[in-house]
Amino acid sequence: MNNINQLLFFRFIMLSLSQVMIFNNFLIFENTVNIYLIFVLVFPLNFNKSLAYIITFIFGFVIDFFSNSFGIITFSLLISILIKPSVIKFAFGHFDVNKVRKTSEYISGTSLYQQLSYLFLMFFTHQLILNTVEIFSLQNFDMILNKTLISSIISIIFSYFLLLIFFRKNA
Amino acid sequence: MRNFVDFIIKNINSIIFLILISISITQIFSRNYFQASKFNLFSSSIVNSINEIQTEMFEYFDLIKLNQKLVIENSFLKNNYDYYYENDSIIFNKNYSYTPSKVISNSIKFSKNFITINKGRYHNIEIEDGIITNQGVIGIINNVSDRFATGISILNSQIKINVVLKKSEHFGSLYWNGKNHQIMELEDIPKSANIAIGDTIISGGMSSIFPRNIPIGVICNFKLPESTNYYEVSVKLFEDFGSLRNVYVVKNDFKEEFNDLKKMNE
Repeated sequence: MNNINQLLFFRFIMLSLSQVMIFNNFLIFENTVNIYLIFVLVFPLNFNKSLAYIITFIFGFVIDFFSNSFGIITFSLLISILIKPSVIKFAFGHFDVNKVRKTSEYISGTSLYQQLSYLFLMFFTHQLILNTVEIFSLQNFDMILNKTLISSIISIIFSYFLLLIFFRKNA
Repeated sequence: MRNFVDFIIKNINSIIFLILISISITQIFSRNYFQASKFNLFSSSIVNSINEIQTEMFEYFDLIKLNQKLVIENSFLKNNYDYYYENDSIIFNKNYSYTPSKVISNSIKFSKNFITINKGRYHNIEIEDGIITNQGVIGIINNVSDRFATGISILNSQIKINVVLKKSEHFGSLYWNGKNHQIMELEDIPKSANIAIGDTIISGGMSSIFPRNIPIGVICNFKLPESTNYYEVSVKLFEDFGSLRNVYVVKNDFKEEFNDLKKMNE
């Protein structure tokens, strides 16, 4: 699948289906596994920004719709895709957005430490925003942090293996 | 217009992002009950605190009007409910009428102090009416013009006021020695009166000027000189004459009858 639009569409369907049908239905340490963030993690870097926002919005909307959490996932996904370039810069060093098309070209040839720091930063910020909006009270900040840490670690483990299996070439 | 379009084209990414994020935020607050109620609570608390500050501010500016209203209401109450029960029969004590007024000038630094108020002959004020507040006796009217009146302050070494010890009903005269504007001297309290520091002094009502039961002050010091039968008592006044603002002019409606009766004995 070389056409980027087909690729995105395929990912959209597969990731939303697997999140809604499989991962929403079981809890690990009372936390869901949020693998849908892979969509943002491997989103093409030099894609039209406005389109990227709109596609992410629709993707989040679909998952929100099936998770009964109206707007919360969409909100945190939008923030995630906004901060993604900065996080990549932080994790992998300097890069030029316009030159390279695939996220995998950065990730191949980088150390495990860099990859994990990228995953951790993305998941941690995403879960932090998600849980903050969901719990929505600063009195329970310890609970927010606790949930954020546990669910981001679980999600990182699952996502890392999924990325290794399915997204190695086409990320 | 062209600049506007240019601006939109330039910032299209940010604008789309903002639109999308605001849509998601409105979704969060419109369709999640918990977040919506929390948000409402938060926003209403902010709005309420702003409203509170606003009302406090307006209230502050309305204090003058409020004060005038209260003074009028007070005098109305005093005029209508000034009676007391005595010996199983109701003595209707409504022989005093009250006129609220404001102090225009007042002094405390001389030995003979005078006070000027903003009510005069037009307001039915006459010489020898009393001036009081609810915290004490202030003075006696000595001159009246059409719109103003002056009075002798009780901080004046020339006048003496009839007062009563609230506890034991012993009466005496209160006068000022010209030293401290918060302390007055009380004389003619006999040795038999068992007085103590902190006893309350009230107006005696034996003159035709002031009604009875106006609180005046408390005993702050007393001694019994040798070879006399009367105490020398210092009284600390309730009213601070340095900050006098609203006063009432009290008029005895049966003053002439009272004075005529007195004259018949002389």
